[in-house]
Amino acid sequence: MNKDWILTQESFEALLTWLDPNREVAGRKYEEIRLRLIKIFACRGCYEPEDLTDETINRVTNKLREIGATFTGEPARYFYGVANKVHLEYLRRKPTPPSIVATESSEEAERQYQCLDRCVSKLTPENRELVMHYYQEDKRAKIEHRKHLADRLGIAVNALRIRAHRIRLSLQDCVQECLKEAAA
Amino acid sequence: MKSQFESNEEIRRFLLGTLSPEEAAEFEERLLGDSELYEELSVAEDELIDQFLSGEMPAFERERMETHFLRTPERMKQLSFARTLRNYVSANKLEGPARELKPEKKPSFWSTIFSKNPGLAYSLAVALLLVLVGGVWFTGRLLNRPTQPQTVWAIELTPGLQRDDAEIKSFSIPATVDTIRLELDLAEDQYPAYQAEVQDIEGRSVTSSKNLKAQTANARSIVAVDVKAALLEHGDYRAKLSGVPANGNLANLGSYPFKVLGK
Repeated sequence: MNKDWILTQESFEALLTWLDPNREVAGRKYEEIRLRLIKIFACRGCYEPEDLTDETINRVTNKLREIGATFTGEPARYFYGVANKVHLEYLRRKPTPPSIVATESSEEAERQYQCLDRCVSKLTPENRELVMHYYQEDKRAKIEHRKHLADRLGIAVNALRIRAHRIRLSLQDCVQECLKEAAA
Repeated sequence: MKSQFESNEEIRRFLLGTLSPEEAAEFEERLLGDSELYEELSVAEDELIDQFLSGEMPAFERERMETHFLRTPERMKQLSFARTLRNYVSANKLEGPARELKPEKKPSFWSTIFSKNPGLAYSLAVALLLVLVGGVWFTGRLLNRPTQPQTVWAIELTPGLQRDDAEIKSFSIPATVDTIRLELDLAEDQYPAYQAEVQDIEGRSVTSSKNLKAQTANARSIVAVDVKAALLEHGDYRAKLSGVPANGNLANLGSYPFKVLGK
């Protein structure tokens, strides 16, 4: 991979301008593309999806002078084409698995639990109750329980899934922040 | 247009890497421009992890989770968070429906009857008063009784080879049991103190206990480790026992495998 080329502020500005003349819209598009590429690389079973995404973005940015004036269409498609090339090169390198620490000490587990407790207490009462009810049961009981919960809320089960997922994401972010603070 | 079931199935297969290359490419292109699909994918990721942890997953998918899905540090973090959330919800279980989820109030059957028949309402009120007086007396009797202790269930474990299924003690946890007491067999009580850690199949710590003392149970030397039943889900575990000598250097005394079959 070409790791020598570094994304400068100037080239990043050029990338944003290419994505959209409105800076706010461009920033949003950039983040959407980045997250989707990370997901795509992860779902292809790559070990370092973030690195491959950065490499893809660097290459696109580096090509902007050539393609900026002539390219028509959705920029995300161009990123996708470059991502496919980056992926092929990655496969040719026969990547070795990184050493992911699979074990977690009881202290780490305890810290995470304490952080979660703190983060749950920051939720609104409605969100706290929803998340505690939603993740309560397993297997068949879970399906019935969630149907019942959705009925009570007056929403579809799928809408309930998404609502619970968003609260879960916010909790996960909060716990990560809390763990960082504890480590600092 | 695909049905919800087909979409969910396709998302699941994409996450597990079992779509054909053509199907996967077509899915990825849709994913780039479809925010709803991206969110559905994120929801499905969490659901897969939850199913993996609860043991609800077929063996083939479980294998794909281990070899394909859980390859990145980010997903390992998601798994770790999911486990903590699961333990947290189990330990702080809510009773009854959520407050904000109460259905709209409608006129009840009784209020309809009483508005039509005040005599019946009077008779029922007297009967209710009698029931209340009786209830107060009965509750008083109940409160004066000694409080019920937690239900503790003792399981005797011997150190063994994890790979040998015949060696592994398997059990289901009855719903009434609050605590599992693991009685770890000691060949000889050699140490002033012991410590134990219960780990799941991936080597993650479920709970640990320090400063444990050897005890005698049924003429055997044991170290007893109490584990909250809520922390044990269906799956394989092992308790790792260490002796703590006076100099503090831990001595590994073995691994005690066991399997929880369900609750």
